[in-house]
Amino acid sequence: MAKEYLGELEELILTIVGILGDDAYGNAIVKEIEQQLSRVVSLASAHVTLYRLQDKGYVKSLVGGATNKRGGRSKRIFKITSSGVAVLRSMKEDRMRLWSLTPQLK
Amino acid sequence: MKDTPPGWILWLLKRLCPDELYEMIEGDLIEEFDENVASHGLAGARRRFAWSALKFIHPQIIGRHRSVGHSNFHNMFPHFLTFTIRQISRNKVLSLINIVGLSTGVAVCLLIGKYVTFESSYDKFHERGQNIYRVISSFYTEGVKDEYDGYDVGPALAASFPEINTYTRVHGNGCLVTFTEKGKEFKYREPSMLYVDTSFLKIFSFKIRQGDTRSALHNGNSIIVTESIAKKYFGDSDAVGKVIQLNGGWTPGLFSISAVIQDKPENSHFNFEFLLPMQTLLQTDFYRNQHQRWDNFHTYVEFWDDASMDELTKKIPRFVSTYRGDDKGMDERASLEFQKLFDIHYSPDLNNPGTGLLTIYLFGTIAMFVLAIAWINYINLATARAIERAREVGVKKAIGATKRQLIIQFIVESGLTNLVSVLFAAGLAVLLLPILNTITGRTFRLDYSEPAWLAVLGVLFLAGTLIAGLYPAFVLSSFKTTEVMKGKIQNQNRKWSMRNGMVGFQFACSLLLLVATSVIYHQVNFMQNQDKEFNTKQTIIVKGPELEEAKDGAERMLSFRNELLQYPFVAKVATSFSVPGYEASLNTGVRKFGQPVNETRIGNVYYIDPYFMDLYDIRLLSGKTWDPQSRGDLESVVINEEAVQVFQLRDNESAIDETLILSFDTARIIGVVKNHHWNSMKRPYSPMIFYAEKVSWNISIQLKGNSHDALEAIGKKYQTDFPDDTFSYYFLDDYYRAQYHEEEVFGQLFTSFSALAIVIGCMGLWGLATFTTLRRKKEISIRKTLGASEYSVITLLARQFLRPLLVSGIIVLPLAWIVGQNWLEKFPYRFSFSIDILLLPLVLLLLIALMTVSYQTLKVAHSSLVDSLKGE
Repeated sequence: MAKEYLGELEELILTIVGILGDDAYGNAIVKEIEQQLSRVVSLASAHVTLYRLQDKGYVKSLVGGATNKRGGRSKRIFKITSSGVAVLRSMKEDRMRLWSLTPQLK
Repeated sequence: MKDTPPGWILWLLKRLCPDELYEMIEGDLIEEFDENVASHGLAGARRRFAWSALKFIHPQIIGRHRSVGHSNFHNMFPHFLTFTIRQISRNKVLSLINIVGLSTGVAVCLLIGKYVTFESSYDKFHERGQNIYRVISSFYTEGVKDEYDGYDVGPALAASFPEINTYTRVHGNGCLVTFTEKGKEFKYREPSMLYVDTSFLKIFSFKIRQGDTRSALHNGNSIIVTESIAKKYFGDSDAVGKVIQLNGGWTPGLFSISAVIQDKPENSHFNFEFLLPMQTLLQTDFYRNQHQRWDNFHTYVEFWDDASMDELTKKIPRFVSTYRGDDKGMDERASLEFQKLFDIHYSPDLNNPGTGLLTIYLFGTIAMFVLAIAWINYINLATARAIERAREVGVKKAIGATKRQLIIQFIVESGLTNLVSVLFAAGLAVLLLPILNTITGRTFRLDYSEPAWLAVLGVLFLAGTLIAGLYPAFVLSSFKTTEVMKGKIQNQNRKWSMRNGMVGFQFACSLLLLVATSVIYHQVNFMQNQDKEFNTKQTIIVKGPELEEAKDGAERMLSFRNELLQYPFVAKVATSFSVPGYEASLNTGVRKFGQPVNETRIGNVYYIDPYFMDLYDIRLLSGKTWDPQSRGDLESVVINEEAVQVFQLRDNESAIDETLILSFDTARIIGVVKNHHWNSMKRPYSPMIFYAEKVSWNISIQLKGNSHDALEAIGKKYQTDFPDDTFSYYFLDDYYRAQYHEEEVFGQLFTSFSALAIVIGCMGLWGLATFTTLRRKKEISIRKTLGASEYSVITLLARQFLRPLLVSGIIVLPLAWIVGQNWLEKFPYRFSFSIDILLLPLVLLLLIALMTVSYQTLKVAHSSLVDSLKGE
């Protein structure tokens, strides 16, 4: 199987899903990105990316409990899968290797 | 929970998103909304919510279904396109109606958009426009506003109000320009000159093309000309530094061109070709000896950014009483206000502000109507074909198509139709543009490379696709497979009444437009044909010589007059300073001798010669007019009936020998003449005071016989008598007609657009008739077999179409009545707006509708029984 690639936003969101553990749903992800990187991602594009990641098998989703906070609607909670972890790790390693090959960039 | 997000978006999303995703998306959105309410307030949160939610209308989300993972939206798309193209080509007539209707509608929208944006762009190009105001004053007559005031108002305002940054006064004039270029002498009559303060160029953003902006008007004998004047006078050679001579006018003399300014943009309310320094005007004897108050300047002020208009307004009464204290009793009624620069174009009549804005709204409404009619056509025709499409929908559902896919398919159909229409419309608008330009007398251009226009086209396309596409898509896709297969989809009454409602709405729009058109035409016609109550037939106005009034000027004019009278084709000749149709020479405070000062009212003063009343056939009601031979008479005045009323002179007879006190004179009344429409019918009668001069400057000539030869001879005579001047004349009747130009343009635009609206509506009705009558072919055949007459069949079918039209017509007529009355209110003299003006369009439209549906109806009624019964 040819090696799979992730887009920049896909990689970011996948990492955040990993960070958030059991509470990775749309709003939480958008907020986490804003806190960590002060970058604003719209809810819609977060959702689109998450579904795409799910298509590729890097995350799985389950319907989480409803809370009063969101007008009683349930959440779609995403979890990183082992192939998701693998692809993140391999991307990180590739990048480290390439970085070590650059001549002493300052 | 009291703060809720806008429900319609959720409703829309719910229908577009896959069910299994929707709840969680909604949850996320609501959570975000609740947080935004806390941080941005309810309004802000709702706006953000709408944005956030609309972004979910994304192919990756709405195209996803059942098992999240396999999107077949992309695989289906080519299929949708193929289907759409097949549908369009299979129903050529229908598609043609849709495309023609939609593209005409969109083209009309584009043209109206162009017109409306132009009309609302007036004076917006001035960089500091929002701080610029024009001073409006009302003196003597409470509440009657006037844009004129004295030349001392500007400086007084600037001295009293720290809020004012700077001011400029503007005064219009015209004169004869002569100059020598390359050894040749040139003469031009130039009517559009403005005396302005040096600050004029700082306040207003007219661009200087050549020369120095700051010093351009500092020198008393400098003059600024526009680019087109520079080109007309000097061709391509440099105009700056050239010297021209002004003859006649307020400030005759030599002026040196200090700068060339851009041509006045079409969307500026100013009208000028030359700018002259104000100080030159104010140094003339006329203004330096301030015996009289000359209230014939415009004053514009520019405020500082932080000026508060409210506080300023509070200080105005004190300002007025300080500066108007000399007119005892006057200051209570005198007042000043500031009119926004941007409002000037919208308020051609100061006492009726916003009439210009009304026009813009009216045209915006037409655009909406025409577009709505075209969209409704699409919706109606699409749902009319429901039964035909029901089978297709049933089969597709049976083999596994989801409702969402079907909706997308129908929206793709609507999208493609709209795309083609919008593209056609863009071309059609360019083709129709010259017509708009001819009617409005403007030079509009449509430049689709401007991003704004592309955005407009894009919005029209999207709006059309969704508005026209959504309803049919939901109706068509909601057919149940089992019912369709059992053939149960027949007349569903609920849907039909929805369609009747829409046809009714179309009809109502057309009816409103038609009534409006007829009201406008009646009014314009009325104003043009109404008796002016004085005679302007075969009368030409020749402009008197502009050249310096020489010592023998009056004698030369008199001899010119006498010579003209010798011609066989000249019936009568009179001279006057004031010319019918133009403003009075003076508006000034007037009261009857013996009345207290606070009974002063505005009167209009006109200077004419003793022959004037006779030439124009202005009827004398009491007293006498002037005797040309008696000098004493010339110091008396003749007034009109309105003046008798306004100045409280009781009646025509007792007014004779009363004395009027004017601001500059006291005058004895010797005669009263009948009221007549000196200005256009758009203005009410005003109190008129006629002063007589032995001879005056403009020449009225009443011709008899062949006017062509007469004009030539008069022109020759003029040139021999006044060799230094140019001969110019116009027919008074033409001038009067031109006063209604604005209404005529308005009427023509209205007519063209409503005609288009009606045509589009009829096409839709025709299409609808075709479909529904075909649908009932079998039913009709059975009726006929059972003995129904052709006549009863026709009435049956026609009634089906005409009933909603009649109902909507009756509902909308009162509205048309109100709108019509409202528009007519600005005219002091109006035709009698009677019920037949409402009913005639209704009957006319019903007839058109009847003719439209009758072709199909007759065809079905006549068709052979056997064929239609055998058909199934």
